[in-house]
Amino acid sequence: MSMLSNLLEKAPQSVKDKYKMKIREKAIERVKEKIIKHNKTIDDYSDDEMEDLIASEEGNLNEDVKKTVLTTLLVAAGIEIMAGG
Amino acid sequence: MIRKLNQLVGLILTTKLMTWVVPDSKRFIKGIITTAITIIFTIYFHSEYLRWAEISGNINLVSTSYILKNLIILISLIALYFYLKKTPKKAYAKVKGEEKIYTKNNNEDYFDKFRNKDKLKTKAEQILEKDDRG
Repeated sequence: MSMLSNLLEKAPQSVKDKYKMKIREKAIERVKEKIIKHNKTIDDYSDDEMEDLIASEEGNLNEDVKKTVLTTLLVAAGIEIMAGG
Repeated sequence: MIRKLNQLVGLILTTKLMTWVVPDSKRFIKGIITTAITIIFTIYFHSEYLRWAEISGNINLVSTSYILKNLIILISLIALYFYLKKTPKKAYAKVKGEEKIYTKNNNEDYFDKFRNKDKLKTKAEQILEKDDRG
């Protein structure tokens, strides 16, 4: 997580905000899907519980992004090595 | 061959990353590409017309064709300017069956308070914060 945080710290504020908004929106979507899957309504959750759900999903999404970035970098490096060799 | 493939993969990934981080870039790229295609086609058809006019000797409408060509290019550029200037209506992505989770008291706006918060806290962080206060 720290690598992604460091990367975000160096990015311009507008990019940071857009990244955060995108992740937050995706997290809300995932929470909605979970609620639908369990046949619940919004009223079944308190605000704190909902915040916890969204925050956890945000964490998962950041982890996913980190993994995707690392995989992409490794694949790119692999292709570069193959091209060079 | 592999180097070309690498460049292509890099280009696709960069575009993908750009459209993901900056959603408006999709709109920007779409506008630029459409305008570029319109201009290229206009120039191509005009040059084809000029060649035909030269061969056939029918040069009555050559001056009009130049005016028309430049007018089309100008209109395309103006249209692009207004297309990019117009801000798209903010719409959140809908999840299939989303209506079921809403009640009389809470609708889609319920999530706005979480959208507008700077940092969301997990249950553990909430408990820790409560302990700090106590």
